[in-house]
This record gives sequence, structure tokens and C-alpha cells, in this order.
Amino acid sequence: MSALRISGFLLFLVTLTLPDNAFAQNFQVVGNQTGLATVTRAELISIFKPKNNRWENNKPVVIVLPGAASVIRDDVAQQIYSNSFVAVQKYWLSLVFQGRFNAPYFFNSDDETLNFIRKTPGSIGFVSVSTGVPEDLLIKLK
Amino acid sequence: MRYFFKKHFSFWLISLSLFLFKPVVFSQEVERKTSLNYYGAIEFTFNNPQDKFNSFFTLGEQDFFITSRLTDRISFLGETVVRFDPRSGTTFSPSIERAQMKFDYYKNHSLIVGKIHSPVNYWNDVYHHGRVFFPTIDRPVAFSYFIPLHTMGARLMGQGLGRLNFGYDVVVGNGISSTDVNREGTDLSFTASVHIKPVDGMRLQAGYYNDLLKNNKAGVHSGQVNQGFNYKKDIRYRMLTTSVAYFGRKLEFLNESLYNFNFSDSLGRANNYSSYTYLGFRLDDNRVPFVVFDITSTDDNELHIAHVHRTQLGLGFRYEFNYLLNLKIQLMRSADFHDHGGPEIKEINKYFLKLQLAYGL
Repeated sequence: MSALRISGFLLFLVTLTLPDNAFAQNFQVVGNQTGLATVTRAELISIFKPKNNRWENNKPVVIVLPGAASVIRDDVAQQIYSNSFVAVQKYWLSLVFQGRFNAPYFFNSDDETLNFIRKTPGSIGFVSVSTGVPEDLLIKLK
Repeated sequence: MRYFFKKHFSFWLISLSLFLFKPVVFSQEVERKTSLNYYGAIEFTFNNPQDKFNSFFTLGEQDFFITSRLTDRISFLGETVVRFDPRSGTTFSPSIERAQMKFDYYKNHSLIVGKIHSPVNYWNDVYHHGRVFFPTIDRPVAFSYFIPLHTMGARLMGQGLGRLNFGYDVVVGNGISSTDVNREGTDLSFTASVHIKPVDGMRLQAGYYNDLLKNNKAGVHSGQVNQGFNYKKDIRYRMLTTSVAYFGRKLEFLNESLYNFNFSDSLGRANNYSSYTYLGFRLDDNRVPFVVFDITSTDDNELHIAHVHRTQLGLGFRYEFNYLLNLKIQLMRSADFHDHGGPEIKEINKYFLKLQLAYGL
């Protein structure tokens, strides 16, 4: 077996061992009074699908998502919803129309997202990985 | 000690109530968010009832939809529709379809009061009057005959419970024979449904409806408008429903089945059935070809619902420009047609072609 093939196979094995947070290299998770210091990918998906109305600390779950002009909108849509951004908009519109969940907030910039999350207890959202996030708002992926 | 509590019973009762309902009384203020949306549809139909050919455009229902978050636990939803009404001077009249206040009293459990869509099956609970959400142009035929579309009442709702995302709905309300402001007698209608969402995009639901139709009246909450029967005594109206829904990235499937059984003193029990199946194949983000099969049948001794023995089979295509605009085209074959809202007519409506542009703003 050639060295090239062996290298490719080893690289493949390495990718299998990468931790889940390797998927979120393009965005960070931010939140305010969610009761979360860390979160797994599965938990994140459950939060944004959404499953629950309230956090364990009884604060309301307020969903914040990247808007149409956000640079991370497609990454978030694919990683969290396994779908396109348009499909995510349709998904949420349907949930709100059913009367089962409150509408999420959509923001086009990280500044808008952070400003909203800072003043809204229970809110959770995403910003670019290159954006500086205060420690009290950062939720680490594990 | 017993005397102390007995003497101050009112005080302790009020204190206990305030403690238990503290989340209600002292609920947290949140930034108010009110959203207004508008949904509607424009259609074109080509059909040939009774060997005559017709082609015409239709302005479909125009739907005003509003939601507002009032506190962190209380929200409002309203849906008002303006639709064609030949009895109106302007030939259009408004109708309040939903006006409900939702209170999230504990985690994933809510209390809803007001006018709601009966959560008796998947379609009525999910699609309401927004044509842009419909996978097909029209609702299942059962909606014109059996489904209690709305209820004015109170609803307990739970969702996302446990690993299978179990959900429940229990509703008591004014019922089919009533109006939105009063009803005769003390028998309230009862709706119960349960569902699970075992995988993403899937919902499996079972429902039950029970109502006493005073003097066999069909009121404002049902699809039945004019049954054409002279039977004026009470009828016990019951219905069992099942819904199997899956909307994935490639495959879309929906089956709505129901068994409606009604009791009258004169003819006893009438057994009515309906089953609707939709199957779509999503080619990409925009294109979905689909097939539809719909069968509805009433018993010969049915005294409330207009008699119908109808089978529909159709082919369709849906093009989604985006999540707020889509174009649907359907070619349908219908047999043994009974006109809804008028005297009983038997006719073979061989084929009809419909196009619908559905939009949301």
C-alpha cells in the first residue's frame, strides 16, 4: 500500500476521533441566564428545535438566530437544523403559526445579537467565532 | 393548632394561592414583541361538472395573523380571515378564526383560552387558514363534512415531553352547534389528542371528539352548513382520528383518517369514514411533485352530515419560490360528488385542474 494511501487512511481515522465541537468552528454560542456554562451539540439541537419553553432556572427560553444577512446563517442552519436557511425560516414560521412557540429573534450582525442577549434573560444565540464575547455570555461547546 | 388554622382559613387559602400562582402574579416583564403577517391565495380552476366546462379565477381567503408576547408567560394569537360570501353586500365578509390567549404555567405545559382550531388532527392543528403552508391546494374532503374546525373554549396543551417528545391536548368548549358567544344547555364539547415525535419531521397523533348537537344544529364551528335533513332532535357526535405525518428532506407523507359515529333516537348509530393520503417527493429546495388520494363515505342512516360517497385521486406539483410564496398545480379526478352547502347533488365530476398561488407577507 502506498504512503499516500496510508496517509489518507490515517487522516480519515483522525477525523473520526475529532470531538463534536469541531463542527462549530465558524460560530460560538452565547446566552444570558440560561443556566448553561457548557453545552453539547445534541443539547444545542434540542434547545433550538425547540423542545422546552423554559430553562431549569425557570427563565423563558428566548431563541435568537442569525438573520438573512448574517455571515453565519448557513453554518447555523446546517449544523443545528441540518437544512438550509430558507428551510429554517419556514420551520419557525410554521411553529409560530400553529401557536405552539413564540417567534425567534433574527439579527443580521453579531453586535445586534450580543446587545439583545445581554439585555434579555433566558436568551441564547450565535455569533461568529472571530467576535469577542464577554465571559459571562459565552457558553462553551463540549 | 387546628383551631388556629380553621379560624384563619381564608388567610391561609389566599396565601397558598399566591404562593402557587406566584409565576402568574409576578411574571417577568419581557420586551414586547408583536408581529403581523398576512396570508392569502389566488386560484385558477378548470372543471367540467355535469358535462359543462368552466374556467375561472378565485380570490381565496385573505388571512390576517397577529401574535404578541405580553409577558414571559403570556402570549396572544389572532387570525382573522376575509373570504368570499355571496350573502354579504360586498360579497366578502370577515371571520375571526382564532383569538386565543396562551399562558405557559409550568415548563412545557400551557393553558389556552379563546377561539382555537380544534387540535383533533394534524392538519387542523398545523395548517389553519394559511394556504402557503398547505402541502396541497385544498384541505382534505373530511373538512367539509366531519371536522369541528373551531372551538370556543379552554385548552390544556403539553409538548416536547420525554424522549419521544410526547404531547397532549385536552379541550372543552362550546361545540359544533354553538356560537362564539353562547350555547344552549350545559353539555360542552370535549376534544382530546395525544402525539409523539419520535424522529425529526415526524408526528404520530390520535384524537377523540365528543359533542352533543342540540336539535341537530350545525353551527359556525363545523364544515357542515346545510345537511338538508328534517331531523331536529339531539344527536351525539363522536369521532376518532389518526394522523401520520412525516415531512423530511426528501420524502413527505401525510395520512389523515377518521371514524365518525353518531347516535340518533330515530335511526341509532351511523358510521362514517374518511381517509386522506398525501405523498410528496422533494427534488430540491423548490420542487415537490406529489400524489393525493382522498376517500369519504357516510352511512345511509346518517342524520347530521350531508350524505357523500366521494373518491378523489390527484397528481400535483408544488414550486416553492421561498418559504412565503409557492405555486401549486393539481389535476384531480373526483367521483360521486356531493355539493357542500347546498341540496344533495349526485354528479360525476370527471377531472378538474387547479392552480394556486399562495403567499405570505
